[in-house]
Parts: sequence; C-alpha cells; structure tokens
Amino acid sequence: MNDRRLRTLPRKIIAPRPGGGHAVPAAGPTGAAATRLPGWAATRPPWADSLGTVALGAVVAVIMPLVLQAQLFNAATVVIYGTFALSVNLVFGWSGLPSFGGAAFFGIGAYAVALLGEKGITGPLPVVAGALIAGLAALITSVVVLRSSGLAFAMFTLAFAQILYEIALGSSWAGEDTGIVAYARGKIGPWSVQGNTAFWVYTVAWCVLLIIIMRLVWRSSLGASMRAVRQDPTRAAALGIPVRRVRVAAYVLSGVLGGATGGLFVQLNGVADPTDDLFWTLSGTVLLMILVGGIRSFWGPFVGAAVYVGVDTGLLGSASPDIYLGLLFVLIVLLFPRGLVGLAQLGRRLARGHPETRT
Amino acid sequence: MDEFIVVILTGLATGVPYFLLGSGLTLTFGVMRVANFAHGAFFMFGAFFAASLLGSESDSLTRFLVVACGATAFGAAVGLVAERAVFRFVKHEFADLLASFGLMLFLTGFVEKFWGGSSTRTVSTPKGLLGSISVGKVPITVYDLFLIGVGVVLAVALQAFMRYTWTGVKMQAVAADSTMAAALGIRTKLLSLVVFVAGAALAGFAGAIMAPFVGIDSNLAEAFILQAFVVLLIGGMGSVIGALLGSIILGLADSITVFYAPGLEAYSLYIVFALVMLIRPFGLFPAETGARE
Repeated sequence: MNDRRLRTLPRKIIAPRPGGGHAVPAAGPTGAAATRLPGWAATRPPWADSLGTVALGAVVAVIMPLVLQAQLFNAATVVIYGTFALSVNLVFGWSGLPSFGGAAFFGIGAYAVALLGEKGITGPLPVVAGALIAGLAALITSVVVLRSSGLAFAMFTLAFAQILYEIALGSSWAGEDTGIVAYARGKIGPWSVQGNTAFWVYTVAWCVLLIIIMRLVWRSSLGASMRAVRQDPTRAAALGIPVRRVRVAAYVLSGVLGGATGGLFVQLNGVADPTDDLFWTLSGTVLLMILVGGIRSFWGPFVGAAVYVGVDTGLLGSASPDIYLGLLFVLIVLLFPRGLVGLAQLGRRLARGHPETRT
Repeated sequence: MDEFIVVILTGLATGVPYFLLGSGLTLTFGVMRVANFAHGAFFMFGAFFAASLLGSESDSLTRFLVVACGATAFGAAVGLVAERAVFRFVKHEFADLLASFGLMLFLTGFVEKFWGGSSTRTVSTPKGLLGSISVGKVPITVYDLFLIGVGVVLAVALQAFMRYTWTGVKMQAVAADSTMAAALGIRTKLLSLVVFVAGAALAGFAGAIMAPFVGIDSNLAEAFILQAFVVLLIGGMGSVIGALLGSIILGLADSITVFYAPGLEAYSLYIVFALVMLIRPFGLFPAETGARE
C-alpha cells in the first residue's frame, strides 16, 4: 500500500521511472479513483461510494422536471445512452476487449420490451426480462467470442450484432424493417409511468440502480481483476487471476446492463427499430461516446454520451451529421485518447505541479 | 448435375467480389498490422466514381474498363490522403480500429453531403457483358464469367507480384518482421504507404467492378466492411492465397444456401466465419512469424 502514496509525490523527490515499463500503474487515469483517495475514504465500504450516485440521481430527477421540462426527452436519452456506454465500457475500457457488439445486447433488450409491450406487458418487468435474455445471449456467445482477442474479437462481436440485425430484418414477428411500435411504459404498482415526468423519474431510478451495480464492480476485486487482465493477461494469469472467467463475467455483465438500457430506450421512444437498435454502427457510436468521455475513468463514458447527444441534437437539422461525428471521432482518437475526463485529470495534475510523463 | 455446376459457377462468381474487397484489406493488414474500417469507404468511392461517369444506361465495354481504371486511381488517391491524414498517426492500442471507424463515418457523411449520397444510383452492365451464355448445357451470365476471369487474373497477378518483384518481396519481409526489415535497409514507412495506397486502389477497383450489382448510395461503406474483414480473418490475416480461398468458400457457401437452404442465405457469411474460426482460429493460411494476434 505504501507504493501508491509514494507515486503521488512530485517527481523531483523520487527517481523518474523509465517510460513504458510494465509496472504497477502509477497514479494516473487507470484506477485513479482508488489510488487518489486519502486514507479514510479508501477504507470506506463499497456501498458508501454509491451514495453520491444516488444523491446525484435524486437531485437530477427532481430538478429537471422543474427547470427544464421541455428537455426531459433529451435528458432521458442522455441518461439511457450514458448508462449503455458505461456498460459497454465494462468490456472495452475496463477489460481491454474491443467490443463492437454492444448493439446486440441493446437490441435484445429493446426488442424484448417491444414484443412484451405488444402483448400488454409493461412497466419494469419487461426491462428485467430483456436484460436477462441479453445476459443469457452473452453467456452463450461468450463460448465462441471469447476464444479470441483483438481484431477477431471485434469482428465476432460485430458479427453477432449483425446476425441479430438480419434476424430482425427478416422476421415478420420482429416487424422486419419497420420494427415494432409498442407503448410499453405502463406502471409500477399503482403509479403510472406513462407521463413524461413520471417516466423521467423511473428512468433515472433504473439507471441509478444499474450504475450502482457497475460502481460496486469497479470497486470490487472483480473490477481490479478486469483491470489487471487488461494490462497484462499473462501476468494476471500468473498471479492466479482466472483470466477467461473474468472476461466472461465482464461480457455477461455488460450484456445484462446493456439489455436493460435497450429496454428503457424502447420504453422512452415507443418503437424498436433494427437500424437504430441493432445495426453495428450503434456499437461504434457507443465507442465514440466512451472515447470522447474517457475510456479509463468510470464516468467517462457517461460524459461522452452527454456530449454525443448534445452534438447530435445540435446537428439535427444538418444534412449529414456523420461528417462531424466522424471527424470528432478521428480527432479524439488521435489527439485526446484519454477523452474529456482524461483531459480534466491531466489539468488537475498539472495544476498540482506534476510534470507530465505520459497521458 | 447441371444444377450443381450452376451452383459452383455462381459460387465462384459470388466469391470474386469478396476477394476484391478482402484482398486490399489483407495486403494492408498483412504489412501494416492496421485494421481499416474505412476500406469499405474506398470501395464506396470507387462505386460512386463509376456511377458518376457511367450513368444508368448500358455503356460500351471499353468505356467501362477505362472507368474501372479511373476508379482504381481514384481509390488510390483517397487512400493516400487517408494514410497521410490519419493512419500515419495511429499508434496506440485499438487506435486503428477506432480512428478508421471515425474515418468511415466521415467519408460516408462526405459522400452524403457532397455527392448526393442519399439517393441511390445504379450502373448497368456494360454492353459487351450483357446476357448469358451456355457453358455446356449450363447457363451463366456473361458478367459472372467476367468476374471469375477478373478474380483469377487478380489473384495470379498479386501472387506473382508478391513473389517475383522486389517490392513484393520487401512487402513480405516487412509483413514478417518489420523491425528486421528496417534494419536491413528497407524503407518500411514508404513501403507501408505504398501498400496502403495499393489496398485502397484495389477497393476502388472493386467498387467499379461491382457497381452493376449494388445500389450505390452512402450505405455502401458500412454494408460490405464486415465481409471484407471476414475474408481477412479467415484468410489468415495477411495471406493473399488465404483470402482467395476464403472468398471462394464464402461464395460457394452463399450459392449453396441460395439453392438448397434459402432461409439461411443471409447467414451463410456468419456460419462460415464461425466454423473457420473454430477450426482454425488463426485463419486458413496464418502467418508463420510473429503475426498472431
């Protein structure tokens, strides 16, 4: 434990590390939340760490309808996409696997809710069902998909999403290319979540729950294992970490959470559509959100989703938003690989007087 | 028996477009180890070039071939700009996948905005290649035969180039071990640039050749990129022979499902992909030195 505190001292006191060594991560963006905390905070129980999220959620849930009623739809979109991006980052940023298949889980959750909504089953239960089915799909496909890493993994996940897309496109029960229209909000117990404000609170509550789950994983030994596996799978295995199982856990968890957000998305929009919910470019868009916000931080993807929705809404009138989004993507990847949160962390460290060795 | 021959020939003809698409990507990845999502966009540019110059009525064969050459050069030009602007700077993990995805988005949007990409155009089969003839008792479209011919010529030419020219040998050296190749005096950066441009040129050529078959609109970049990557992966991430064999297998799988299992037609690509990767995870002809991903 002493190591971590040493590494936050200014460089003049400690000999600089030669760059690029495969050592335990310095107090950088990786695991920054754990390494920068002062003593008492590092020992608080994991659930306490989520209180902030709950508080923030409660505040946002109450304030938004009072202050910006007209923007509730966009805000709900931000929250849902933000949580979705966080769930994809479980596999991408935390575990180091380039997943282009987030759309598959999103789509499964979306179509599950839409199909159940058609039959009159609404409220939170279809979302749970969608999440579980997506998780099951993740578990089953992990057998094939997790045999590879890198490019092959990216293509496998992409192919899986495309297979589902083709199925939806070709099946009449899935509405083929028009998708399914379903008003699936319903109610929880006696309270209806049909109306905008009620649905907003419902969405925030759901997403806070999903985010708390992720937060707990981030702070747990599973989260640390994921980071270890990402940084050096061979050494992680040598340390006794079950690499394959950790990856499966990350993948399945990402599936469950992604499926839940897909279900919420359909409840928000009232329609499940193969091009919006399943085509592989959605997976790519999520990766853009993750990168813009910051791949190595917990909240990065959420921030990125907010930026993306903002930019996308701003570009709504223009003929081809893809030009700007693509350009943004390229610039972020080449110039700011740590994203906005990474920039903020960089700024903070520079302000504290640390000369920068690496971003 | 006749039907069987039709299936085989159709399969071969279907496989050639896969090979055209995948060969450029295979070259690029084999030498530079860079995955390029924008490869489909180069293909799209080639198709748009052809559509702009050819129009929808049937043109003469010579004009078609000239335009195809033009599309190749155009693809090369776009590839050159892309390499200098983007791929040159791609260094860290997954940057190639992500930056090329962004580039693909950008090029798709560019075509939508400046080339009227939201409407779909068509190109007709050129006059010399219309209709169908009979090989023995088996009918096959002339264009299919043309495609098979193009595929064979291209495969032979690429293999000959890789083996019997200095540049080709240097490419193989850089693909096998770029550090050692540089130490031996090969200009790896220049070679990488050349390979990338060549790959883009192949994509542009593919776009022109396949223009008579596809609806030419801004979706082209996204639509075929998965096919190209599947060819790359099952071929062995860098082997042209592997890409050819893989393309033939994909084409045959496609025609077999069309004839004997029509419900599975849309999934033949994924089935082949999954099967090949399960049996040979590094592809049909994996690189022998250090290239395993």
